[in-house]
Amino acid sequence: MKRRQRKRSSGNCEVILSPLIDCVFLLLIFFLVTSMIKRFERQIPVNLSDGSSAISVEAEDDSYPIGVSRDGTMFGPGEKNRYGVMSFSPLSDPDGFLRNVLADRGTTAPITVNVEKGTPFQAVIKAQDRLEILGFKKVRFRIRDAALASTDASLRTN
Amino acid sequence: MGPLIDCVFLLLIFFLVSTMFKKEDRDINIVPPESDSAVKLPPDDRQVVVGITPEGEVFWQGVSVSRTDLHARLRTQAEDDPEKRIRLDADAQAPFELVVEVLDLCQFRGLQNVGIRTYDDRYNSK
Repeated sequence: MKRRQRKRSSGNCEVILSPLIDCVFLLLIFFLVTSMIKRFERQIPVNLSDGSSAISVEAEDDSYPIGVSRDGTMFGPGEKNRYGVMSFSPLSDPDGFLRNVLADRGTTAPITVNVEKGTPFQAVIKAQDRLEILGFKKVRFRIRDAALASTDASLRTN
Repeated sequence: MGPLIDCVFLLLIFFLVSTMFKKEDRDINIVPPESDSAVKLPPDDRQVVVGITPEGEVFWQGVSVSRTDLHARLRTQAEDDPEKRIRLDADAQAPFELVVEVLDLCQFRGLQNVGIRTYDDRYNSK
């Protein structure tokens, strides 16, 4: 019997590069694409008041006042006392109350949210969401030093 | 074949490094407020990011700044490009008067193109 002898071709040994290049190209295209993708980000556009409102002599009282306390409770307006201070009372059904305001005044009438000093930003955004979803087009914010809940009790009688 | 692989590897490493730089540029430790009424906008890489932490610290492009410094930077920004987008990244627990203070400063300097960043599942994690 003759033994079959394998010819060893020691000179032709080489690494197969094609899969390596495929892999590298794939990674390259992946990083190219991921770095170029423009993802969307969520923002609330803000319309800042113009400078003239600060120097206007007459106060704009065409807007409807509501309130937000530090714990996020919404307040509705009550009567003004003889000093012109508005009293506020907590709303048990804010959505129902605001729907009535919307029905009376329309969507374009401004509404002013009196925010207690120290209120977390999330509570304000939540109130803004509620107004926006109900359909209010003009929402203004103002900061208030005194606590809303104390407006009734703290009114001076003398 | 060798130079081709060198070139491709170089490009690969370039994109790897450049995408990593972008991430650690402006990060501050805040959780933006959640909002259902926020609008989706395409991100603008040129916008200026002003951050507010719950403790009241203010950041300009990821760098902590004092109120005086913020005034100066906003003034410079208003002189250079008053139409530039200002994005306000305020923490959900930050006091609202601080947010109003920064908005007032923007208004005072004539910077009207302002937006408030809100929570997004794809970007932020609690």
